[in-house]
Amino acid sequence: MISIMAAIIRRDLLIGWRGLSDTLAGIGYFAVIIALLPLAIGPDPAILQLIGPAMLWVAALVASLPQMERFFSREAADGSLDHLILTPLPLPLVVLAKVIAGWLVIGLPLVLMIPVLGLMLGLPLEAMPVVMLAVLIGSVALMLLGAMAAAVVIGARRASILTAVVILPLAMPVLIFGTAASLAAVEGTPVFSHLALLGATTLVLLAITPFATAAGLRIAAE
Amino acid sequence: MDKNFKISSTGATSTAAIGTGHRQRFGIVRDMSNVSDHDQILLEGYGLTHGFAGRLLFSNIDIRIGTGKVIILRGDNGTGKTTLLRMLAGLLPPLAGRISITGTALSDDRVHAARKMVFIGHRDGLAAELTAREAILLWARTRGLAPSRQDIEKAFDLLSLSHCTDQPVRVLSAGQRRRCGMVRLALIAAMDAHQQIPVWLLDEPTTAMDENAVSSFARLIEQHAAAGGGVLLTSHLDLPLKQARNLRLGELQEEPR
Repeated sequence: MISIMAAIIRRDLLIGWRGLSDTLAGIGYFAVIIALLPLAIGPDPAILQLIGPAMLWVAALVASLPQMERFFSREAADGSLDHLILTPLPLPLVVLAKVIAGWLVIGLPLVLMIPVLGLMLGLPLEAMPVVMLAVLIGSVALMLLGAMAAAVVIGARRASILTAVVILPLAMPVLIFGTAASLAAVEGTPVFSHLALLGATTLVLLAITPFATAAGLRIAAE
Repeated sequence: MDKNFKISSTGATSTAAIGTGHRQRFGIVRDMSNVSDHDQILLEGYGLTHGFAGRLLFSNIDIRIGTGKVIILRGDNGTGKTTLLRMLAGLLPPLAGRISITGTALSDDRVHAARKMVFIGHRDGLAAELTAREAILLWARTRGLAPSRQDIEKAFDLLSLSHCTDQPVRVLSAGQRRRCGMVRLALIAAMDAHQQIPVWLLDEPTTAMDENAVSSFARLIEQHAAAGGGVLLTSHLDLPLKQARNLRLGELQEEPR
């Protein structure tokens, strides 16, 4: 079972590696949004520290959207979706393997970019570990939602806008708790409760979305 | 089961009443005869029915594939060959009827069914970014097979595709890509996993293949049947398969051969 999941992950990582420019474009998109911010509202450190954490989250969310939309679209186009569904493994586990691979390709680079972009916004260095942890937990939740949205919109025209419309409202709790945790870290107030709520949200999504995604994939294959 | 069966048989009569103006688009195909008692039944479908938008595509189809049997599903475009195949693979739930794979109902245990069968649709399911070798190797791993390097080489060689092994799927021609999709079957043969994955469901497997490829593909099918597997495939061509039986969809008879 584990070896089958590992094979699915390896396949997606290999495809992700061959399409490295897509991943880099995603990171670049993230960086550009953050770089535009001081230009737009001025370099006042007090304001940047106040809205910086929130901007990091919004930018991470927006930058990952175009990539999450392609969670299953390649598979649907070349016919591997059939093979994915017919993998001798319960479909929610197949979905989970896809999400893990997707997080490694899309989510992890976002987490690694946080210190660099945080410094651009003048966030204190000691806040970085908490902000990174929050983005790490939150990005897992985003990937789970992204996979679900991508499964639902397979075959739809204008899938990109539709994915955004499906993901963004559902991502609201992640955004709220994630931003709260990051802001608390910057201000030096206790962060645990925010991180715990963020973690709880992610766990709930982990328990529910693989089944919803699996159902979406089955419908798409019909 | 009885309940389902009833639904499908009334379905057949009611469509006749609906009438579509042109040729009726359903067929009652009963092909239970090709399995004798001592054969093991690999795949069985009873009273299978499907339709779209209030119209039946086919209804009350019974089909059975035993060990060592090759069945070629024939029929005009749009008679539901692909639909029936996807239904038997478990990708499409039947409106009525039931399917079992090696004795276990598909709806009860999808994982068992998936383990026992390979389905190759009209698209090959090969990621364009991967090389042919990677695509086949990683497919095999997701099937729980662990082929050695030699197995992979041998499989590509069986369909004379050795020169393409390390090329990205993206650059392969349509025929090469089709053959590469079928290398999955060659790999099962190369690893002698016929018993492990006995049911092969193939949708237009020889599309875009040249003559040589078609004949090596046919040898592969015969080898699988000889090793106790069962094959159901759709085709418009006359494949060089001696043992195969033809089954027509969309008409009310079975074609003798």
